[in-house]
Amino acid sequence: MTQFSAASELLATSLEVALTATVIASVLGTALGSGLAIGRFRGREWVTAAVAIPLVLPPTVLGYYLLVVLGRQSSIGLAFHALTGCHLTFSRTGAILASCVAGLPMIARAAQASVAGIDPELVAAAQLAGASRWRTLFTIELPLARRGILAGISLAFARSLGDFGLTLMLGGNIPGETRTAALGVYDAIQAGRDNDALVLSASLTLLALAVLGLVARWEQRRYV
Amino acid sequence: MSNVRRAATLSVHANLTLGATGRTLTVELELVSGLQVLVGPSGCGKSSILRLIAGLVTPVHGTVRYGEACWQDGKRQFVSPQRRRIGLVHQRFALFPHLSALQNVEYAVSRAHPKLVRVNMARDWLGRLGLHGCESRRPAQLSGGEQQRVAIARALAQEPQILLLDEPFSSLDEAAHAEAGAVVSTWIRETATPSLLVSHHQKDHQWVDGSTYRV
Repeated sequence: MTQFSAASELLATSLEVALTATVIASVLGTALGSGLAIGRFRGREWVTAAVAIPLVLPPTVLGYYLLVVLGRQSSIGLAFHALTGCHLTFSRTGAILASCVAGLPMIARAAQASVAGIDPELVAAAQLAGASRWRTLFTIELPLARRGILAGISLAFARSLGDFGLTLMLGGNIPGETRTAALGVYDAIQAGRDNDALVLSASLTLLALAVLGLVARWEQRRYV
Repeated sequence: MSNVRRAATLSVHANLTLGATGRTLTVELELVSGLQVLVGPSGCGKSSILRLIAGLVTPVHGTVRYGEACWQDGKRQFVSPQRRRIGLVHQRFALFPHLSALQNVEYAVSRAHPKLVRVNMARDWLGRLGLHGCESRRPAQLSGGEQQRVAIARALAQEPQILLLDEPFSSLDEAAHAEAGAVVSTWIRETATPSLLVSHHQKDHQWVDGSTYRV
């Protein structure tokens, strides 16, 4: 029984971190992606590339950068601690932040591609109907792009649930705080607790499958 | 011929580069109240002229003026499509696929009206174009002819100060064509709105009461 409750605690931590991170990354990623799809400014392609860079860099490199910028001795880290009393690294906040950074590019890229793919005549029709840029975005572009954005969100959630390296770098491996199921599997294997590793791995797999399956089902619905 | 001249005149003097061929088109056009027609072979830039008036394409140089207002002066002055209050019936309808017929029309009704008034106006326009019972259907659930009439209803519901019609009756059968044509031409006459029609149909020219422009 204790084995079971230990596993469920790790899974709960994973879920909480992944869900919170996905919600934050969804808002930021959708805003960033639609901004890049709609905006016409110099150097847009470089911003697009920069947004995608967390997908390419190894978690150690990304984690190192984030530790330098957000660490407990950095000015952002100190300011955040002064304001909220929480630390941005080696805390639950740090684990969420890590998941957020890992998932953001997936949502931003999906949103950018989906919004850019909308028939420009529809956007023109909305403008001629007198709709402001914001109204066009919220009533025409985002609703039409929702499938693509949702696909990005589900990938980001799955990525977040499965993240190991960046969570470890930024959140550490603190039991009950930042030790997610993915980290728990590593601990279990290191300690020779093969049963724990199996239970956790299987649960994580089922959880990911369930979430992705539900999203795929929702995506199949048509405009009727 | 309408002798009411309440509306201002739209005048276009511009050079336009056509995307498809890179050819430059010189546009000289004076749009007064009433329905005028623009004719010419396919691909000669008729739609581009409508888009220029609507503010959707930028001319190489030249001006678009409406009454006292300057809508476009080369790249120096530009009034956005939102502020031009132009109704455009798009050749391919350009209906919003995720909205019902009623919502499509209501989208264009001025936000100055309260929601209930907007919905009633939209319903009324759908009715006038013979689309009773189609209110809650999405574009994909409508026939081509019905979609085209929704597009016409949307352009008129907006109470535009200029109406641009790009092959607006091309998907309609005989009866619907006559009905929609009568609704549109009556509205143009009553409101004295400067309107420009692009059409290959000789039949459509019966409603024209102004000049014919050739490209």
